[in-house]
Amino acid sequence: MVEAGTGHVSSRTDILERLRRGAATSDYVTLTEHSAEPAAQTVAGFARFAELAGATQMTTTRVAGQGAVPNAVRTYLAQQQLPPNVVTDPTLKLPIESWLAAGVGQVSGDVQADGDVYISAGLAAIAECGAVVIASGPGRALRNDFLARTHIVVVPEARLLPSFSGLWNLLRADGSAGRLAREYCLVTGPSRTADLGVPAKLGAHGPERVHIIFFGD
Amino acid sequence: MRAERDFPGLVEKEMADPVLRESLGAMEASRAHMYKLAFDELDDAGDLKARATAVRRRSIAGMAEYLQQFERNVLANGGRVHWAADGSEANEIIGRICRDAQARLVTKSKSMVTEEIELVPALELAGFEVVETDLGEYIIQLRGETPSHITAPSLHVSLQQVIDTFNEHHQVPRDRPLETADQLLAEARAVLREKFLHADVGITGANFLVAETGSVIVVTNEGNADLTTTLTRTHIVVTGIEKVVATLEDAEVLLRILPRAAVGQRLTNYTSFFHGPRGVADADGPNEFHVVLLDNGRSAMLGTEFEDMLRCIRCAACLNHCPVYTAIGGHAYGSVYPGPMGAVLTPQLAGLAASRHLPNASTFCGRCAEVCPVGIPLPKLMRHWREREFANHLRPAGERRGLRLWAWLNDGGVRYRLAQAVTRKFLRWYAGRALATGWLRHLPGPGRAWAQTRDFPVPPEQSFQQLWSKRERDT
Repeated sequence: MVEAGTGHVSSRTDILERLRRGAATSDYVTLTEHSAEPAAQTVAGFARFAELAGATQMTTTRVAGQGAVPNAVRTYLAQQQLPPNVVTDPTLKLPIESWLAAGVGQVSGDVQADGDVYISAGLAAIAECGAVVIASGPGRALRNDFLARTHIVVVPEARLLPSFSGLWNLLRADGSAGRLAREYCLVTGPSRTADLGVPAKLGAHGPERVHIIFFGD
Repeated sequence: MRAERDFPGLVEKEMADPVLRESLGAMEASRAHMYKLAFDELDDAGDLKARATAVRRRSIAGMAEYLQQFERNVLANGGRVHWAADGSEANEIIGRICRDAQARLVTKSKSMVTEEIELVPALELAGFEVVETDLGEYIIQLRGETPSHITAPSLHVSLQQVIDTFNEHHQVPRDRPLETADQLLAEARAVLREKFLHADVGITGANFLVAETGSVIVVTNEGNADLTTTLTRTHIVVTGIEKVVATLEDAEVLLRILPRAAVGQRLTNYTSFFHGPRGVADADGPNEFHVVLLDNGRSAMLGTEFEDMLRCIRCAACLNHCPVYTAIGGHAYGSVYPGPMGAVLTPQLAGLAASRHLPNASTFCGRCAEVCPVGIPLPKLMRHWREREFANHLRPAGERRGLRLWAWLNDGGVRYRLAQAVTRKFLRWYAGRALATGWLRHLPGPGRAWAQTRDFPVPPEQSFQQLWSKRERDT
């Protein structure tokens, strides 16, 4: 396993040896203060998610079922005064007809232009921190989530986790099944920069607006 | 690592810069305020800080084990791990990976470790085009400058200077409108979008490494780390060995505290967990994933009086609250890591002889230790360096003689009283007409530099001891 890196086996051995030697005289070895358990969080649900997400410039809506998503998209785009055309994540399971019925032009695949609207299938959301979780995986290109100007993430309500712990369990389950995603990303707002003064600017490299749609069963 | 010996000269130069004065003033006000709001809203901020401190202590105590566990998991996830004893070894490893990937264009997200090892100049020397994608880093890269703050690298650059820089470097029509922050952003976005789309290798740092899953965690607000890594063939992570933590729960405690301490946010807009190359059925992502673990003096700190510094999570709260940093700015320190954390870290990484001024550039007001989210006793560590500086005879010989004289004068009652009386009489005579104002605007000899920016009080006619004995006699 050691050789799986490169030929720098001696640096590896030296570093680990120095760390073991240092640990022998370290004040940190006789620790009694172990408690990595995060503070217990109060009950958190949709309202808490929406409040926190709103504070970091994301918007949230909630619809009855997956079939109602295209209409919610149409409404959102109209509010933002954007044309009703979207690119959808191929892993998002919505029939083409439902987009037609909602009057939204839809293509499945990759974002082509800077101004595109991308509809992404979210993996989960975390109520206590107002974050939506997207992940790379079979059939979907994660780049689209970061290239589109408008990022809409669709999440089943059942995947709204109360706290971080839910996500850690999910990662561990993926890990033991041997399908840990290349990347999981917690999104709490649009691509933002503070490097051009105050106030901070949105749409630094990626999305300028992020909208979350939760759907029930 | 870079360190500049002429600290006093740099301070003088930086303090004369009006742009810097203004941006430092604005930053001090806003960052300290945001920090306060972010911790005040917690039920028990002290508890979170104690947990974060405990996590860092535990991580450091078990670093050897956790690093090996991390390595096993990265390998299991399809990545490779490289160990680098110092900066030149790290640069050599990264250069080789770029060559093997037949790279031309390399994008990178913000990383202080890459500044520490001077990776970009090394890669450029090897013939690669390297583009910084954090907007602040991009601006200073065009200007040929180094970061002046560890989380706000272009703090010292005004909006007008950004306009001038873009005009000088961007291949675009000169008559386009370029005045507002929005116009600057649109132009930077378009230029960097092209770089993202055509890059071959993407380099990131890491905020934390998780042993149990092999996760590499990177936090950004711009999302540039994600574009850097999803659009390239090879993802290289380069980071310090001390970033490893045992579990996802440990990482969670630190993720809760880092953005609060750094910029007053609950979480950054993007918190990314990277695990390896693309999966077989993934529609994008790099084919190769490499993690370069850098030591560069860190392992030598464990088990010494400086081991507390290994807890540092690079949030920059100590810079934002430091009366010295906020007066002189980051470049004056002449080292990669400025402010109180830099004053402790730089002598370790660059040698004390080259950076002996830095542990002295502190008023010991203690604010840095108060705001440090992982409880690093920064003034105490600076004091350790001062002791070593004295013990190693690195301070000027004249100062040592002066101190010996001072000790001799103050050691005996008669000598002490005599020296006091002579000094008092001399300064009252030296004051001349200024005697009435009570303040000396200049001092002679060794006091000259001190009084250049300060007034010295004229000593009273009688000493405290004389006044006291008089009072005792009178009553």
